[in-house]
Amino acid sequence: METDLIIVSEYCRKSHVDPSFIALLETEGLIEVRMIEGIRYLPLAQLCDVERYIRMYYDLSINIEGIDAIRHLLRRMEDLQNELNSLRNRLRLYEDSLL
Amino acid sequence: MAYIDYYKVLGVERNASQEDIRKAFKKLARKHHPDLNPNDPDSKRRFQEINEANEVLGDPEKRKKYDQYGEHWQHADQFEAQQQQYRRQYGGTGGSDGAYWSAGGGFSGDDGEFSDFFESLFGSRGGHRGGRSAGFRGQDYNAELQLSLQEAARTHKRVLTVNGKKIRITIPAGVENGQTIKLGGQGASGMNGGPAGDLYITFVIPDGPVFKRLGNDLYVDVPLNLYTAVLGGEQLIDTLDGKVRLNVKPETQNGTKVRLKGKGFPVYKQEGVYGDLIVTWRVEIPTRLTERQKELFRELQRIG
Repeated sequence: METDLIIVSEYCRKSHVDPSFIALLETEGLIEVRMIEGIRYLPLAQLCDVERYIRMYYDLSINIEGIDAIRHLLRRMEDLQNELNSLRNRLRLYEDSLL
Repeated sequence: MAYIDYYKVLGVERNASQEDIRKAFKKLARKHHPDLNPNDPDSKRRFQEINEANEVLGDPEKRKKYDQYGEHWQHADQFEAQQQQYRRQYGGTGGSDGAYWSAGGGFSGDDGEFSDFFESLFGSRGGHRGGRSAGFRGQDYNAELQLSLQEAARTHKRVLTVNGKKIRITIPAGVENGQTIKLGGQGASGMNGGPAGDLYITFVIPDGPVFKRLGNDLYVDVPLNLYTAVLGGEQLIDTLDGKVRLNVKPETQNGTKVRLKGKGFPVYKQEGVYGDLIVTWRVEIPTRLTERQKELFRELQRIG
């Protein structure tokens, strides 16, 4: 399957981001960077996450470990939200059957 | 348009140092940043307020102007012209009238923009400072989309109009009631080169008059006449994709459930996979019996 890719150096230049930050995200396993013929690429699907991590790092001064912890907590929150939603629907079904 | 007490917004004293303001902003921004509070409109509004307060108090020049004009901010330009004239005539510098602000008022709440108050005092963009963080991400939009159970059961395209912008989306079969999907970059445009916000769509899918849904399974109550329940037979029942004929076992009790595999709701993003349809038989006791029918029931009672 074809994937849209963004050249990391180009992205960093245009968005005023230090390339070492992208490397740090990669090292810590927060994103995956692809290497094709010596050029590092960022898959387009990860752009949204990368931009969020940039905002956390630069605008909120959260370090990489903090970003990773937040990432896990947000995922957990999303899972719990889905579970809550599913339980709400289940409860509604039982309540309706009692009426 | 109400005054806004930016000091109150950031929770700092009026004589706070620039470092105190920076710290207060960072602390509040970490608490209310939209990235850390996804899909929470209150946090977004609060973050917008904090951002604006920091834009003013974090910039010594803007802070000075803000402090100087106080409650007379509406006449700032006029006041400045008078001060210039005074300086020309008498020399020296004109002082502030020392007026303080009344309690902070509300924000306009416009998408990702500054309040009317801010724009009156500093212009529409307020002259952003340089640096990477000068670009602000656009506000996220939240929308609700109501679908019938039948609509949610098939993949289809919809054109939504969100804040005057037409957005074409494909809704996959099997979306759940209350489920929220995110469309990246479809929110308000960013400011000063910042990225656009996201669009969150929450689906509202009420149960229909016939089917109730639980996850991927559908539930339906089907009335069954007493004679078919006792003797067995066939019964036509509704499914999402038409009617099916179902065998009824003899001596079927009221409330008996029958599970029809694969006749339920499509599973989200799993093509060709469906939940089950659970049929509950509701045995109906006949009414308005003829004398002959009553006699036969009495006969059954005697021999039973």
